[in-house]
Amino acid sequence: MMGLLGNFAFINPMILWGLAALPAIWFLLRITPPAPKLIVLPTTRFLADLIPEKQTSSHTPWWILLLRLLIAALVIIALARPVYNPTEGLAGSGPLRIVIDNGWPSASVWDTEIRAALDLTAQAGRENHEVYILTTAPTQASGKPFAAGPLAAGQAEAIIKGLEPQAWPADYNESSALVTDPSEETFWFAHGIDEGKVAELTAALEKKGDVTYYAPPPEQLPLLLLKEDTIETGFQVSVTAPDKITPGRPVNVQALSSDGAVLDQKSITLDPGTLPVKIKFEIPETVRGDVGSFRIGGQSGAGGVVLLDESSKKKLVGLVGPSDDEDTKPFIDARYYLKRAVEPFAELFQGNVGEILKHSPAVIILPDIAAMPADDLNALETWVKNGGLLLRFAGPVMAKNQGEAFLVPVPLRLGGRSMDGSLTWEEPAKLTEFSSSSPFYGIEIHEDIAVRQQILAQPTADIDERTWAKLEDGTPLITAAPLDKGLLVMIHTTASPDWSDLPLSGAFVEILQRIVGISANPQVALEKSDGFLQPVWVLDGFGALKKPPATVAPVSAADFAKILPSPEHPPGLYGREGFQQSLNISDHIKNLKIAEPGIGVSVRGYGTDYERDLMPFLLYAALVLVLADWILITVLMSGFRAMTKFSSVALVLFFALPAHAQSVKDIEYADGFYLAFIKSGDPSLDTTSLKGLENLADTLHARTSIEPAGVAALDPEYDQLVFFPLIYWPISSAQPMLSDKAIKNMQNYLDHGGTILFDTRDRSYGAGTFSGTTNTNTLRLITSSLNIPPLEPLAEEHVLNRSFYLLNPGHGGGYDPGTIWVETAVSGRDGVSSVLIGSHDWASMWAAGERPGYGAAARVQDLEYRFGVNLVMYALTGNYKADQVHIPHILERLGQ
Amino acid sequence: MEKNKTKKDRIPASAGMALSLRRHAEDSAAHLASLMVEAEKAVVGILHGEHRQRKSGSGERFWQFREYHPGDRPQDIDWRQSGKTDRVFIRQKEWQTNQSAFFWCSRAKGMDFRSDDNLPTKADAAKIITLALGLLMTHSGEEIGMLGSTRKGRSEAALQAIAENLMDETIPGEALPGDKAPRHSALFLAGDFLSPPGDIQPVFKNLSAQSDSGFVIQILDPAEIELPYDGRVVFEEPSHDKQRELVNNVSSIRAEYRHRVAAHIAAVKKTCLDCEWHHVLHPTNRDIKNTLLEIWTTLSLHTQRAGTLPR
Repeated sequence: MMGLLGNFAFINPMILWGLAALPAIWFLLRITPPAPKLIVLPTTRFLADLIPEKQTSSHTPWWILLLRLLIAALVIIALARPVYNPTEGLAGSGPLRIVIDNGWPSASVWDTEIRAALDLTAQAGRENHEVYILTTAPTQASGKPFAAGPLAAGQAEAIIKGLEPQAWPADYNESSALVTDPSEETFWFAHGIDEGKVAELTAALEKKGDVTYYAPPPEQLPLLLLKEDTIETGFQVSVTAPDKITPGRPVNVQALSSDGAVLDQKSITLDPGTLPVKIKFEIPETVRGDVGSFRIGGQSGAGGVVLLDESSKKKLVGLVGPSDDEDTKPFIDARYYLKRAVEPFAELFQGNVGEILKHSPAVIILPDIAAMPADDLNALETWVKNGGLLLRFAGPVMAKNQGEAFLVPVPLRLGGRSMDGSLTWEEPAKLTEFSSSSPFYGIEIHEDIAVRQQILAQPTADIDERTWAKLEDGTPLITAAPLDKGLLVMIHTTASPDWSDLPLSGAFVEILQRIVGISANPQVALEKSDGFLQPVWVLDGFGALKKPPATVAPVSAADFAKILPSPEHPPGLYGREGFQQSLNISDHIKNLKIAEPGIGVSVRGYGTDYERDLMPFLLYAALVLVLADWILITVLMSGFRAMTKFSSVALVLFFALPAHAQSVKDIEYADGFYLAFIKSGDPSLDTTSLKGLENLADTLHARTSIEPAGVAALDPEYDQLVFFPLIYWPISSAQPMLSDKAIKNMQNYLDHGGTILFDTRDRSYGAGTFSGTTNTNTLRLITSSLNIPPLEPLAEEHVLNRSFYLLNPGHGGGYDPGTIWVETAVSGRDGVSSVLIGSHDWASMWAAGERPGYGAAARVQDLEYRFGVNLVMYALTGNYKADQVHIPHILERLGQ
Repeated sequence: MEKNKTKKDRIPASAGMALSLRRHAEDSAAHLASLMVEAEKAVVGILHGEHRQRKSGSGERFWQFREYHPGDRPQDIDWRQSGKTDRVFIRQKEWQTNQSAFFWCSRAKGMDFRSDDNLPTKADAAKIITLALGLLMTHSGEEIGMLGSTRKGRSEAALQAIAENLMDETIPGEALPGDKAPRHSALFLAGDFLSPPGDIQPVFKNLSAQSDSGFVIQILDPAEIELPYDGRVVFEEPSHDKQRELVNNVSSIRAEYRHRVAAHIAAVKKTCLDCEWHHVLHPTNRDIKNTLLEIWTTLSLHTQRAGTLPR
């Protein structure tokens, strides 16, 4: 069905036979004389029956002929639907399957994938194939990848446009399970990275038919950002990519604060042989705490983002002792072990108390110190009370101390407890697992760790609350207690292996790490927690931080290190203030492999196979030529003068762009004051309302300085209500139900100062009577979903009765008293009630027109208009006439 | 959404109509003023002082003293003059006829035609010529009026009345004058007279029987005389029936057309001569002064010869 002419092809080549008719058209146009000019001449009758000397008629000029032939040719070619860059036709007539990779690597190639998928869908539409859609990453809602079908091209297009990349890896197993539809050909729009077992999915797809796999070009392959260990001067990250990338690919990595401000930026180039590339960020100490994340510039998705948590922020830990290291004997001194344990994750500063306090540390460690000078003690105590965390280790010095122990979380029993040695019958005790309420929950303790000697705590009533770690027999080993805003933590054994094996274990490092981590917000650590980390922020597929949706579940602290990003646990920050842990893609995925879809799958690149439909271009060109022809003919026939009359029309047509009709109308409405009414769904009522409001507008013009520019009919669902200070709403039973959007609009309108006059039109609001007519019920239905303020009947002194005319309700003042309800006690809004409810059927009253003359009927009719004028004045000016200034005059006029 | 827009400066309908009328009247007045200016410019060359019959007659104005002859009326004796000398003198008044000039302008639809914006419409040319003649007459002391209306006079007011009549658009338009003419009248008919000669003849004959003399000023647009168009044209008659003629190639029929128009003009002229009236053809591209001069000269010649306005 397709003929190929180089890079063009025609979908309906048969129509091209119409071009053969062009010479015939030329001949016809040639012999048809042009349209005659029209001239008005009073002596026309002298022309009657004139026998011309020769019957020659003038011809159309040849270039007009050519123009028209060209137009005809263009239209014929356009109808033959030429297509640029045609793809081979889709084989067969069966449905086809589109597989879209939407795991975390797809963010950087997402546009390409979607564009290619949409082009394919358009082609499927043209060739009448049904489409099945399959994605590879599980969705948040169901945990399975999204699949849909069979779909028509239009529906498929809409669905594809609504897809988004996800922030977690794909699950090819689940996708394979969903390959159950009967489609034959598969087109897989992939990101080129192997996220698992690509071969399985391709095998499942190949069972059904041919598979075409689209991979991005090497310059578009996705990248991954990895976190490296923190260095002394700042941070380190590394960028890795699949090994098929183009050499010299430039990459921009930024360090961002938690607010999103860029703190530092580094550019590197990637080469296939030197992956991964490490990048050092040297951040000054003062700002180092602000760094929240690292990002690869450009749309790199969740894989290009590394979030930092407390563990990567180096805190300053002060170690009380001599400031130089000369006396520290390796492997013997407690300070040595503390240094070795703390240095990887925190800055350690050694010195005396005064020096340490100058540096504002997060934690101060006292290794086995029993006494200190009084000022140091006071300073330390003040520091703790202001929110510092003090960590104390026990030791022989403390054991021997006779005096009252200072700054300990629990009262201590003097003398140590030795479980080793000749005087005891006990075995060295082992630690129990940390309970879930302890901040150390999840730290594994090797079974060989034993404590041989410790300082005991006095068994008080609240000892359990203050215990963070226990020995097997329940003796507290690590205790903590708050002191004002700070925290005192004590480990009842030494920081050196003298009394226990704990400093030798990896658990020691983790314990210290946790303690340092708590130090940002010490009190929070004491709150009873259930050991679960709640999600605080999560990443979406494009790498942006957002609030976690309801489908994200908390992670238990113990399992945190092991979990992989998934729909229930997307990458992001989990935990609570002061103790957050970040989950990144790169925590578990360390390198990127190119996907090998296997033999039997044809691998293609994107962007080489777009079909482009040329029909619209050709038709547009034909339209331009038609306009040119018309201009030429007008100029020829009536001269340039006539063009000026039509030129404005021509220009408008020529530049006919899809007008934003909405915004043009909005500008009109914003320009003047328009009276408005809500369309009620009943055309005759709408006409009446329109007429009535128009008459009211005329009255306002004639009598007041208000000059309404017109009347607008509104639909609360689609129209902008904000331009109308007063809206008249005639209630009828034909009123269509308000959709949510309409209700939202109305509520917004009322909240922001609009006034609506509801009119049930059936005069059912008599004084005191309230009959449940259909219209009142409809009104109730409408207002049930709106926030209507409390209403009261219109009082005689209400400013509505005197805002322009002095009305005397009940004395023939235009409406019966008690039949209009207004808002009680309006605050703000200039005293204008946002809702007025009445039943007087004002629209018909106003639509009846002014009655001429001075009779009683004319007066009654006039009072209707007076009320209308008052209403509009009130809506526009508010409580202006209620000011005290006017009261004496008003009273005078009322004859009181 | 629909919207029904009332005009921004909406006025009640009656006031609106009054406003449009007034605007129209102002436009007409301005137009009239411009026509008057044209007319005055045109007569400036012709008018030099009062134009009097240098003959004695029974008019109102004093002309000369004459010696008393037996047979003159004793009431005419001017005693003052006679007292100065010892002869008896009669006060002689100027000769005056009781003839008045009546004007008529064609109001046919075709009169509003002009082929070029630089030319006046035929109606305007007719009005200017009429007004100019009126001016000249008034300066000469002649009595003027509008054919069809009974008012006539010698003063500026009469001229004003004629001007207003010309501007009045409510008077129905006729291509030929009616059949009533006052006695002792000199008619000045301005129009294009494109009606068939068979229609024109009886009207002229009728009018000439009732009136003393007549002057026909036939005003035509040069395009009507020469047909300067080209190509394929459909011509439309501006009258009510809007008759149309399609001409495939105007150049081919131009000569014949000109011949026909010239024949028609000759027929009209012949009809005038038969009624002992005068005829002048005024193409609108000709300076009105020239036509006026021609008319006035013809008038003066006849006055001198016959002692009355041309008969």
